[in-house]
Amino acid sequence: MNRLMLKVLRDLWATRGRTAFMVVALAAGLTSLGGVLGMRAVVSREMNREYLETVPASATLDVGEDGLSDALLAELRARPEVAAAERRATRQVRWRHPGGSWGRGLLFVSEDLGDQRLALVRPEAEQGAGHELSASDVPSGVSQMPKGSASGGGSEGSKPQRSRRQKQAGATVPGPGEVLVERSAMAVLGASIGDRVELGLGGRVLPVTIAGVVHEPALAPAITEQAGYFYAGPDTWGALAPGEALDEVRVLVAEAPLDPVAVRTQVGQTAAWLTSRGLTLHEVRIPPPGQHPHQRPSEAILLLFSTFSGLTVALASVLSASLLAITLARQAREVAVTKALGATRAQTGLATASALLLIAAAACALAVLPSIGLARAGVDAVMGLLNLDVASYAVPGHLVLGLLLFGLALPLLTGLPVIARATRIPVLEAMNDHGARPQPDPRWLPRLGDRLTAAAVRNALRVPRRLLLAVTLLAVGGGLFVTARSVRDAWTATTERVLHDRHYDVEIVLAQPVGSLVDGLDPGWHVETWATAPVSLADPSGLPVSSTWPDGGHGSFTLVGVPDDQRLVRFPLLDGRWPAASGEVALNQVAAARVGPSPVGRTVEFVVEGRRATWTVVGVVEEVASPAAAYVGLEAFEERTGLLPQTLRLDTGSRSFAQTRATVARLERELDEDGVSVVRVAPIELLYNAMGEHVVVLVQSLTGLSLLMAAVGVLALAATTSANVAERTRELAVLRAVGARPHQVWRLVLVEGWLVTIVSLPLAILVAAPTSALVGRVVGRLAFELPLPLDLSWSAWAAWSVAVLLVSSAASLVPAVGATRGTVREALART
Amino acid sequence: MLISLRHVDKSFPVGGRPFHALRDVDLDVDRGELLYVVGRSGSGKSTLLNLVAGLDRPTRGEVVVSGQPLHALGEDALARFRGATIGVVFQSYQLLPTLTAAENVLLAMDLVGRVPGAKRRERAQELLELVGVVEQADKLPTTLSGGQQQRVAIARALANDPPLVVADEPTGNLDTSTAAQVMRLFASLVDEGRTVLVVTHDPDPATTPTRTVSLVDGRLA
Repeated sequence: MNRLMLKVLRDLWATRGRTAFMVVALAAGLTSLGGVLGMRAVVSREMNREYLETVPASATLDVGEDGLSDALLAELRARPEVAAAERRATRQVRWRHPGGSWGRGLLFVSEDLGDQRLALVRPEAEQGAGHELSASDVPSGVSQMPKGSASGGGSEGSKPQRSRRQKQAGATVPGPGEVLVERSAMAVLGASIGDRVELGLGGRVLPVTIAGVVHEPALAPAITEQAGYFYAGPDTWGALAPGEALDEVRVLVAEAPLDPVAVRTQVGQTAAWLTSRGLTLHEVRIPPPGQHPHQRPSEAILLLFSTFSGLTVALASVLSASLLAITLARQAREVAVTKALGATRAQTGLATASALLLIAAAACALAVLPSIGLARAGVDAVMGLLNLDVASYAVPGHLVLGLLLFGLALPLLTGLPVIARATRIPVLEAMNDHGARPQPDPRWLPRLGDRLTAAAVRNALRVPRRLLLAVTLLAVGGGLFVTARSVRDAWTATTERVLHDRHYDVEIVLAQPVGSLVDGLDPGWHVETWATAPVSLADPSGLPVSSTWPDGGHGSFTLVGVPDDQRLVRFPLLDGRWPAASGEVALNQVAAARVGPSPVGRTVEFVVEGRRATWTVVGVVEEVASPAAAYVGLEAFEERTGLLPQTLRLDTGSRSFAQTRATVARLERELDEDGVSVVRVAPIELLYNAMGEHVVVLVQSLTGLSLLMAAVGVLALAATTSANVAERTRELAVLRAVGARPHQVWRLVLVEGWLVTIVSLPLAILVAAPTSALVGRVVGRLAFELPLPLDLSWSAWAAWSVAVLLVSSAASLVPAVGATRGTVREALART
Repeated sequence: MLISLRHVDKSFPVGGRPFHALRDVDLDVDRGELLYVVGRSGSGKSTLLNLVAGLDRPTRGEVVVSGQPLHALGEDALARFRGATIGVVFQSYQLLPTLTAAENVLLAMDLVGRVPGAKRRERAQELLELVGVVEQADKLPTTLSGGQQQRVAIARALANDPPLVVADEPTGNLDTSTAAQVMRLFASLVDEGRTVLVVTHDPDPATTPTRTVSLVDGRLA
């Protein structure tokens, strides 16, 4: 081995404590980055795979109550732009255990669950047995649900032939009076296979048996939506909604089903053809092709994590550069000697860079297993939360390679200026470096305390570059810690606005007009009659297009009729004003984003139940936790849609969710007894809990990331402070030689460490403010179409301040106490 | 002529004003000379040595060593020139503490690359034997006495067989007996045909230099 390299390696060993600091800090950063990027890669791939394996429909066309005839369906299937088409129905239902209280649910009806060709659900027993489907497979990838094991009564009501494995998931096709339940909904229902539940639709209540469990990866998890997902065949549907046709046609386009433009074109052709055959299309739902309903918020969260992880690595790299600077400063004379012996700058630089590379390599090696563990745990957490399965945890090779290169290169790049400076210093200057560099003129400094304190202040300033590095390191570490906490708090505060902006306890959507129902309610309640209806924006071709997913919630757009004297919502205005006249509409920010930039003043054409009306946008409001919504006056709603109000919003004066639950349960019983048909009852608690479920992983992860950053920052402080003191052991010994007592020496280094720390604290806020604003803007836009509020976490800053002052004290005192042990002669001899 | 200094000035900024360490120095040194540079503390001896060794550049004037104008060379060129032409011995030895005695000598050969790799270890042993510390070859500098460290430093200076050896107060940290041995070692190097320039404020009476030059306030007396 090259002797210069050997020397550098032994130097690393001689300062192994510092070397270990560098390795551990870098490894911590790389673990975080590797774990998050690995998680991101696997989650993206697996989410994509899971979603595409369901062969999601390109569009759902609402053809109205008459449905689509068999002949027309056959013709539709034969069209060139159609790869597959099926009749379905989706209804909001209520469910309950016999005698229990109602819960919210969605019922998906299919002609034959055993012979689906698109928008597949999988028998739970078949999990993991499916083939892999890539995006390119999808055009012709019309896969079938396995039929051989179909049982559960089947359409003929035959006895099930269940294998032991199938028994765990029950039937794969529901028979008459049976439903299948999505696996994530089983926890919401608190039910088992074979249990009976009651489904309520309109005024009808139908007891059904849970015959089996299926998995539908294309749906948002039932637990986050707080809903029961049921699957029924034509028999059960016929019993629940006698005479109602399947009013949806789900279509898979033949060409490029993942290309939004191609999908839009082909669906447009299909829609035009259906219209030409006399059908009225109430809505054409085209969700973003190939995109799971939770893909965008998941990507937002993973982007946030990636950003913070990258910053952690950057912080660790600056720390390693800082420690390298200290090491090289101590070895300046040795570098000079090698140069005096004939070493060129390239030789000394290369040897030092190789050492840094070795440290980076050690950190990379150390980070491998924890990264894998972190990525795997993250994948399990995210995929579990999204109700998705993982077929493979394999991280793409190019990502591993890229991470390794990054892990090797970043410390090297941040260390290069330090190396360049150390090798550029002239031989004599380095040989004469005894630590007594030119001092900045101290006369401008106010005299603080006694001479010892003044000396400490001047000591802190003696190497301005190093002071700058230490302060920067601490400021960035503290800033990122505060940022992580501030974003976390801002996200939590945003979800709290679900309650703050809405002053009602429950929303009840009836299957009939509200009429005089209000008069019979508790006079102590504040009740308002509202109106809601799914709405589509008419596109240039006149089609009522929405981007709603098949669950009817994600990506949906609702027209809301608001009573003039309403006092149950208070959404802040972002632009313009609240509608005051007929024909005026205010959009929430999600709807505004669909209409386009600066929507106020523009006219929009809405289609409700096939009826078109033009509205003028007069305002944009900020509404958290809501899909797209457009607010109009209640009278205008009735006039222009022809629909009567069917929604009640109630402020029952409840002081707790439990009290609201009891009130709602009582109310629902009374409504049932009075024969009032209820479509949906939505306590505000449901919305609040759904938001909480959506953010729990984010909040926990941000907490973890902030602690990781704090750890790296504190590690940096401890390393640089102790190294700073250690390199001045001789100077401290000299101080003792001239009469300083140990506690005076300790005070000197303590004050010096505190000074650096205190200077960094306000700077941490300067780092945190713009970083929090930027991250909050990006994440908020992706998740809510709203920037998160900038509200710096002063508690995090206070915690950081205390922690760094404590660490600074410990990191200064430990080497200082060591330096004052034994005799002065021994201390001088050690240096 | 191995060394030629012409009208050499060297000044340093001290307290915002220039301090003239050398003033208009002219000096020629032939091959095979053992030259003592003497003078009181602060007279400019070490500055003169640094200029000859290519460790520093003159403020004005020319420094030519072995035909190379050192005042005109860049840092890397100076480093290569030093490695091949000049062996430097420092007052405080300046051995690298994490390398053994032999490795300190080997490092100098590694850096210059003149001695073939296969022969370096053998040459390091020979040099350590020449200076009388071959038994200490595998020891770290901190375990050696001052005299032993200085001998290792001399062996290191000779690693690349330079025609010129410069030594700055090489006996300053040694006892009288050890100092005499080291000076005899320098004299033997001259006998081998090398040129040796020794800066000292305490010349060894037992060793006779070819010539002694004296500096007073930066000027040759």
